Formats: sequence, structure tokens, C-alpha cells
Amino acid sequence: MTVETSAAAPQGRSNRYLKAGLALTAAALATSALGFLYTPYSPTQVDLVHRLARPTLDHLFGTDRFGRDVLSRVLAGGWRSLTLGFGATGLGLAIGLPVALATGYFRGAVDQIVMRFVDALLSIPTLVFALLIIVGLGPGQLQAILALGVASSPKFVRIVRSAVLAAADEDYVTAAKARGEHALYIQYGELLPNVWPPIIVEASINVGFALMGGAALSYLGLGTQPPFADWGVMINEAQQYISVSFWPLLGPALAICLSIVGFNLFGEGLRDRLHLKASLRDV
Amino acid sequence: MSEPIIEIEDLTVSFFAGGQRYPALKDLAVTLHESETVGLVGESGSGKSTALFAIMNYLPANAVVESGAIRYRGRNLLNADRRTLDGIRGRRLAMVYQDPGTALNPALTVGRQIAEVLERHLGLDERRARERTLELLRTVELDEPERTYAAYPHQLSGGMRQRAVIAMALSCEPDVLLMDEPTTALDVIVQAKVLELVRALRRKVRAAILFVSHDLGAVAEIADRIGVLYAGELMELGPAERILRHSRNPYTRGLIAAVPRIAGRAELHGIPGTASREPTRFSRCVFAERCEFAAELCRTARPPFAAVSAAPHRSRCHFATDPALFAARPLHAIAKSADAADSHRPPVLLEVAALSVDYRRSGGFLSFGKRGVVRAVREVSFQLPQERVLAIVGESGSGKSTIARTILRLEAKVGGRVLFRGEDVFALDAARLRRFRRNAQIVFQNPTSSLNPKKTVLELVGRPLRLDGTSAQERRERVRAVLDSVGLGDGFLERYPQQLSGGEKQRIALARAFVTEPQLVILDEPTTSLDVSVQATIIELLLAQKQHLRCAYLFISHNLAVVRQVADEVIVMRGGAVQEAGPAARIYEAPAHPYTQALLAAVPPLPLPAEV
Repeated sequence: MTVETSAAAPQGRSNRYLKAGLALTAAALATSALGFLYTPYSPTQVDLVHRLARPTLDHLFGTDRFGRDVLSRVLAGGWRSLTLGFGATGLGLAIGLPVALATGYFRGAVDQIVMRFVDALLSIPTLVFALLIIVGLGPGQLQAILALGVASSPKFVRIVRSAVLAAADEDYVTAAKARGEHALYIQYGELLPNVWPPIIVEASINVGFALMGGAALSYLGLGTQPPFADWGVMINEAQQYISVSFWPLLGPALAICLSIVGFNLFGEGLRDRLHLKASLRDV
Repeated sequence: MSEPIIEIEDLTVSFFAGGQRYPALKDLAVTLHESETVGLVGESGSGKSTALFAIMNYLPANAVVESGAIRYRGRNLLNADRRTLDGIRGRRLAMVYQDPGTALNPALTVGRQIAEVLERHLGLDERRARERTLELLRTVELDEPERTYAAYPHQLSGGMRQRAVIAMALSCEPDVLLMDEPTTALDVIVQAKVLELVRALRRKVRAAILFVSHDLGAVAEIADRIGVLYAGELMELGPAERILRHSRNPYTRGLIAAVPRIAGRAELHGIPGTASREPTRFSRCVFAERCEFAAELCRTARPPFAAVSAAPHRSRCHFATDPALFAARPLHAIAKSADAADSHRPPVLLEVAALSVDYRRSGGFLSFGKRGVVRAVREVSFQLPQERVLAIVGESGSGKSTIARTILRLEAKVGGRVLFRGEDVFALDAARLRRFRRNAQIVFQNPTSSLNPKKTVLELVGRPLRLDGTSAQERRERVRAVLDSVGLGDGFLERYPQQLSGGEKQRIALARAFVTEPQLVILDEPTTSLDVSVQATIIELLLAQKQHLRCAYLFISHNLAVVRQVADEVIVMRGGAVQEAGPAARIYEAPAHPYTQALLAAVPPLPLPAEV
């Protein structure tokens, strides 16, 4: 048993963040899961009589320009937005992790060259980077995932590599080399388990970011294509009629905001709880 | 005796974490008089730093002083207001920290830092402050005070920095100097010189000194009185001579028996087990579970801190005044025992011939002008026969660890050869290299760093066997057997390193090295990060395992007393080159090289205890 001497104050904050983040994240996941099973109306059912209606008991979030029920569309579109968030983050990790482990473990000239390249990529704002890629790939949901995933990978390289660098100085790595372990085992068997904390934190924050990026791409017409709807597409459609009625905007905007806030709070809370240093974004 | 300057009265401190209360210090009572040096000795977790920080009122935010008082000339510092404290702290009470590297501001010259204290606290003008600073630098025996005045901290050696820190602490002519392990971060020779300085200061300044250390030898060198702390409890307090030679406390006696001595090889006696951290430990004797004299009474009642003789000598032990008990088990085996005289020389296992290794200061790919090559090891040659122990002794930066890493091909050499059983280690093919890696193991100084925190003991110790393709069933059996041989039971198999104490972790690291039954084990400062009582048990274990496995050790250490206990042959290194080499008995009894003589002279000679 050891006596922890860390001050108690941030613990309370991290707990509040974690709880709020978990609740919002769970709500976002539940919302999109519910969308598969049940929606009050068909998300594509057109009702030209009740176009751009205010919220009523029949339509809790009102209706859009074709009279479609906004709540049903928020529920049904959720999984597309979340898939974007998780997919892009997963892809970013899949690219970033191996690069970070290899450069952090081997160091030397290759590390220097790769990292200068990564620094160059990091100088481009992630969303602009994603836009550049999607211009090459063409619009679509899958393309948006690819673009956002590739665009967020340099960030993962940076953060994971610094954790790897610290861990690689530990004697258990030298001991593994002295045992004649394969370099891949040392990277994935010895180092990776010790760099998970910053990865999880960064990933959860990145899900929130990719949600927003995905919504932005969809809003620009480069992500999910109509008639399929995700929250970004809905915001795009709704904003054209914002001077007539802002109600259709409210549902998807709330859904996306709360999800992003949720993933961010979860990540921040986790970071405080795990006593990690600030992530790249705070620097 | 004169009026006490500092009186610590029944000080009890607890830490709070996660809603739990962890008592750290219980009823500590010590007084400090003018011109007196009191040494507080304790192993990790003994509460010695907590006591110091309580005096300075620098306890962390989650610490609470539950009861007691700390009086400075009669005034209780614990309920003093901020302004009173500011007038006392730093001016009347000055602190010297363990690490002189972080105690000085790297952006200011040493002289400026000290002069600034004088200008601010004593209101001296610039010229007077400078004069006084130079005087202080002379007091701490720094050569060329003018040059030191103008130097930045990084331009000074560790020992000079510590002297500068002491000079700064002395600047306001404090009544009390609090020293927190001031010699621990220093090399042996420098350590001896700083101790000499502390001793000299007692004559030059009138300040009382409270010297806190884990090193009984260092404390014995300078203290008038010694207090022994264990698990938050003051176990014994009395004149140094009484404590060191006539101790009436089983823990103190255990500690004395555990200190390796440079005078000769002796059977070391470690104290089994680890210090209790249980919050309820103060309702009984805190040492009961490790004590060889423990009786039922010790497990149920807290011993009083009772006087044991006419001299102010107190001990917290139910049996402190029962001389029969201590006489029945005298402090044995501290007397010198002969080195194993052995003319028979077994065949050579490891041969290092004219080995040279460079240390490349890597500046990175785009850094200019910072790159440099330093020769870390220069043409070092030695032979290690089978089943023998060769020790490489040297201060930090002597290249001794680099040799260890190079032998295992973890570092590239620039010249020379490493032969293991006649085969050139650097020319082995893949299969032979694999066999070499089973046959030559390494154990590091810091067991926390050498064990992956995310793996269980079974995974950690079993991993070398897994590389050989041993089945899971057999692995488990062999890990169990090797854990048993290092004194750990089955209960450890599924534990993670953070659930273990430092000594247990080092045993796990040793088990991992022994599990492949190697012929060579390289031990790189294997006991340096451990408490003295634990260090002795690890040395006992190492010697037993050597008999059992019939392996050879390459033992790397800066601690000459520890090396004395294990080594057959000794190499003394400095600046990457061998200064002297020979049989241990010859090196210790008739050192030929001046550097070896200086090293040996620097080890504090702990007085032998008198039998009670």
C-alpha cells in the first residue's frame, strides 16, 4: 500500500468531468442505437402540409422543409455521424500508432525525418487537411472517414511518440533487448501497454473532433450524401431556411454539440484522473 | 546544557488520500541545542522527511499535524502566523536539500544568488553583500571563491554546488541548519569531503544541525546524538556513541548488523520483511513483525519510550532494559572473517580485452555543432573465471555501466573484444547469440524501472523461458521454483510490480535473471536503490544463489563496502580507464593506486558495536 500525496482538488473536477462526459457519451450512443429500432415516424416520410413546423407534441423537434419529423431524422442519422467519429479516430490510430511506436523505439535519423514530416502536416489545420484529401477522393461518407482519419493521424503520432520515448528509456526495455526480444515484440508487447493512457484520452477527444469535422464535411456537401441524413447534412439543409424557421436546426445541432462536449469531457476527465500532461491541443 | 533552540514535542502527522488517513509520524520528540548536531536515521517510509518538512512548515496540502508542537526558542511554529514564520524560516532556520542541482537557480551566478539573499534579508548594500558572500564561500571551503562567485551552477561540480547551497543556507547566520540527505546525491569522495565540511561548520558557526539521512555511516561521522526512526516511530534516541555501540533497540541493532563494512568480509544480517505501513500499527510495536525478540506483548501493546540508562538514552522497546535478552543474541559476525583463500583458478568464462566504447552525444539530425564523441571506456581488459565474482568499482561517469551494456551487445564498441566461453560475442550468429542471451543475464539498479508495470510476476519471470518455447505448464513450475529460491512464495505469481515493495521487486528482477540458469549474471548496482536492511538480505540471497547455480557475477557498484562482501576480484575504474585491478583482499588491504586509496579513505568507518 502506498500513500498517495497528490492533492485532492483536481480529483473532484475530474470526477465531475468523467461523469458528465460518460452520461453524454452514453446518451449519444443510446440515441443512435435507438434509431435502428424505433423512430416515431419514418425519417423519410414527407408531409408537405406540415413543413417547417414548430415543435408540438406530435413532432418534438418540429419538422423540416419537406415536413419530415426532425426527431426521427436525428435518431436515424445518429449512427452515421458516430460512425464518422469512431471510424476516423480508429483509422487515425491505425496509422499513427505503428509510426509512433517505431519512431519512438528506434529513434535516430529515420525518426528525425519522419517527425519533421509529421510537424509539417501538423502545421496544416486538421479540417483543412481533411478537405484537401476529400477533394482528391470525391464526396461520400467513406471518403469523409478516410480524410478525417488520415488528417488526424499526425496528432496521434506526436502524442503517442512522446509517451513511447519516455517509456523506451525504462530498464525493462533494455532488459527485453538483453533477452534478445524481437523489436516488434518490444514495441507492441512491452511499450504499447504502457502508453495506453494518453492514447485513450486523445482518442476520446478526437472522436468529438471527428464528429464535428464530419458534420462540417457533410454540411459542405462532401460527406454523407442525401437522401441519407446525418446530423451534419441536416444542419446544412436546415440552415437554408433559417430565416423562415430555426426549429429544424435545433435537433441536429443539439445532438452534435452535446456529443462533442460529451466526448471532450470524458477525455479531459480521464486525463486528469490518469494524471497525464496536457494534450497537444492545450499547448 | 544550554537552552534548546528547537523542541519537537510529541509530533504526530498524518496524510489524507482518497478519504483514508495514513499516519506518517507518531509522537516524535527531539530537541536541538546550540552547536549540537543531531542525526536522524531512517529507511524509506520512516517519516524522517515528514519531520523535516513539518519543522519548515512545508508539509504538502494533504498532510495534517494531528497533535504536538514544534517550538523555536519557545515559540510554537505550528500556530504561528505567516509573518512570524517568514521571519524565522530561511533566516533562523535554513534548509539544505538533497539535490544541489535543483536547489540553485540555473540562470543566475552562484554569487548573485547568495548576495541577493543578503541584500533582501539583511539589507546589505551591493558591495557589502559581495564581500560577505565571498566570506561565506570561503567558510564552506570553496577554492577560488571569486571564480565560484561568478560561475553559473552548471559550471560547478556536484560537490561544489552542494557547498554553494550550504553557503546560501548559512548566509543569514541561522540558528538551525536542517539537512535533508545532503550527501546522498554525491559520489563517495565528494560525500566524505562534504561530511568533513559539516563537521568543521560546527566549530565555525554556532548553528545547531539536524542531519537527516538513511546512511548510518554518514550520520555516525558527524552526529553528537542520533535518533533512529522506523515506520513513523522514534525507536531510539541517545548520544551517538551509545546508539552505535550499546544500542538497546532490536531495530537499531538490526540496522547496524545490516550495514556492510569495508573492514572485511562478514556475514551480513538483513532484517526480513518490510516496514509496516498499516494505519493501525501504532497500537503495538511497529517493528514487532520483523523483530527476532518479539513476544506477545509486542503485538498487543505499544512500548513506552523509556530511558535505558543514566545518560539521556531512550529506546522504544518493551525489553529495552532487559540486558539478558540482548546478551543472548549479541551482534554477531561483524568481526572480520577471512577471505576465501583459493589458489585454484577455474577456467575463464568472460574475457574482455582492450575494450573501447564511445558515447555519442546525439544532437539529432538537424542539430549543428552539438555533436560530440566521448570515449566512455578506454582499453579495458579483464577476465572473469567461472563461478567467481568480479566487481567493477567506480564513481558516476567512470564507464562501469557502459562496460556491462557493451558485454551484452546493447552498446556498440569501437575497439577490443568480448569473449564469452572463448567465443567473440560480437561475431555470434543468430542461434549462438540466442544461446548467449540465455547464458548471460543482467539485473539493473532500479527494480521499478526494470519490471514492466503492466505484466504479472508470472509473465515477467516466465518470459525468458517463453522465448525458449517452454510450455505454459512447465513455465509455471519453473517460475514457482525460482521464486521460491529468491524467498518469494506462490502468492506473488499473479501480482503486478506496483503491489510489491522495493526489495520484493528486486527479488523478482533477480528471479527473472536466474530462471534460465545462466552462467553469467551482470549485476549493475543491484542494491543501490534499496534500504540498508533490505540490501543485506539481497546480498545474502546473491551469495546463496551463486553457490546454488554455480554462476559467475560481474558486480558493478560504487559502494565499496558492499563490494567487499561479495567480490573475489576488484577493478577500480575512473574516467573510463582501469586504475587498479587485483584480488579483493589485496585491493582493500594494500591499495596501490592513489585513487583507490582516496576511495577507500572516503568510506565512513562505522564503529564496531561493543557487546552489551
